[in-house]
Amino acid sequence: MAQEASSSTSSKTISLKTGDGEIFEIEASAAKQMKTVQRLIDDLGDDITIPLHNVFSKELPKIIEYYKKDITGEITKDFEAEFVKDLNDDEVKVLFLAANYLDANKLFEFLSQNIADRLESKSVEYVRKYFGVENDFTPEEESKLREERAWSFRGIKEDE
Amino acid sequence: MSHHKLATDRISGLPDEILCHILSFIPTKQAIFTSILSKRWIHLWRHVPALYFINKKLNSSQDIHHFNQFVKAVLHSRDNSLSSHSINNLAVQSKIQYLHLYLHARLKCETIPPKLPASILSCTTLVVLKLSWFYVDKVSPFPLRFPSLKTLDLKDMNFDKCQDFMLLLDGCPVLEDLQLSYIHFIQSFRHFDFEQFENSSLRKLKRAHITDCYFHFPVKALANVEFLRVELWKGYTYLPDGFPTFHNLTHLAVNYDCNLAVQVLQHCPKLRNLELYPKLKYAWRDEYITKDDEELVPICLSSSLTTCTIRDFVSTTLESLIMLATFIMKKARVLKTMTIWSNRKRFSEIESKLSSFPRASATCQLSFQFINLYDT
Repeated sequence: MAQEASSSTSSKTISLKTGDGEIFEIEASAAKQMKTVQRLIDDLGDDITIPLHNVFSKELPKIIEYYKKDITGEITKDFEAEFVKDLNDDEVKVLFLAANYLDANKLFEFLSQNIADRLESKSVEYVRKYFGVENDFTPEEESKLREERAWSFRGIKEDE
Repeated sequence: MSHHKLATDRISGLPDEILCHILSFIPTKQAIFTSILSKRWIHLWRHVPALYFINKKLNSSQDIHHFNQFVKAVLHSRDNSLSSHSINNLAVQSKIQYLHLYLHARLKCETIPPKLPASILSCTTLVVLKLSWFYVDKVSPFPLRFPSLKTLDLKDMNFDKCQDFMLLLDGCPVLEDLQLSYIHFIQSFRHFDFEQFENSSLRKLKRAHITDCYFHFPVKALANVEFLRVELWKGYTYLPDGFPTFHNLTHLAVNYDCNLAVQVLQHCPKLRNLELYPKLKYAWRDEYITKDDEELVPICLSSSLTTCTIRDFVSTTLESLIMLATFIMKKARVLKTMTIWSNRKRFSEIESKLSSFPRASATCQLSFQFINLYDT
């Protein structure tokens, strides 16, 4: 007979309401992993629906999926690869922002790595657009900066 | 307002620390590029507490020299107030937390690995250290060398004496994740040279991954790990007290062509996941589990094991693979899945022998993953 090792009583679920009005359920143990949610539970109690103004119905299910796997201790590299396989760069960005807002550390770290991997080989223009960065250099300033940075590549063979 | 435009605006509103965090996952050379994104980004890369250098094609000592120059220049430009003398002071003063230095000579046997800069060993702020292909000589005893180091990954490293290697480990009191592969010692050693380190301070170690290390790693120091991948070799038969009890171990990956595997299993009372693979580099004589005496059956097999994965290999005889799988299926009372990795040719024979074999666990599912047996 398998013994229950955890000390939680029943598997309590918490209701979360997204910014666009949809309601999702998660286990209390998964909610613990999202510090923002846990803080709201501590303030508002676990019987009411927790409002998440900055997270929407498009991304919350994916986040719930991740933490569902996490509480059973099964997140492997394969699972993570599969998790992001069909997401485009913008979808990953949206998830990343949600993980940041929810203070969901594990997912945040994983998505940071994933964004870094995706951007590694992209052009400066692409990265600017991705981060919503306005190029506030004059053309002269920019070319001077590029020249200054050229020192980092002197004499080094490209490893691509 | 589109969902994506909203996201882009919000990402540009993120504080510098978060952007630096993303940058810490990119190789330093690419991170430097971001300084031309905009004025805000000119200096962001400098505040990333991680230096990550990978260079895969060091073919000559001149290449190594250029690489060292590059590393030095990066460290120097992070803080212009430092007067540069050598890499030594720069690494320490930059308060680096994450350091990956991966070098990789194409013809390793013809080139001598470069000496690890002594400053790396005095970089007390390190949290993650990953090194590949360096030579390390004298390591002085210093118990608080790396007081914050949680992850240590050493690959292709040559140490002068085994004491140098063990003293390095001794200086990592909060280490959680240890990966070792291809560690060599220039001076010869004997098995008892490691015994004095058995009570090493690796008490917080959670994960250990030790492969291609043909020396007598003090396994007692691994007693608290939760995840262990270890390549057993004959040298472990000389352990004076055998293996310790791995009271926290839930996941074990070990080579089954060394009969020490059963001994290890007997010391894992709470094991849930077992991965068995043959040692790939040398052709050991097959020594498989032949006795199924009740006394010798490891406790974990009957009481805690829920998943088992066995990997076939070209030099493994079908008979021994089946014997191994049936032994486990016969004893593992709470087994949920048994997965065999083999090629399609052998699959049908394995399946026909195993699928009708009586299983101790009513919920046990048998599944197959197909691989090319000539893969390493």
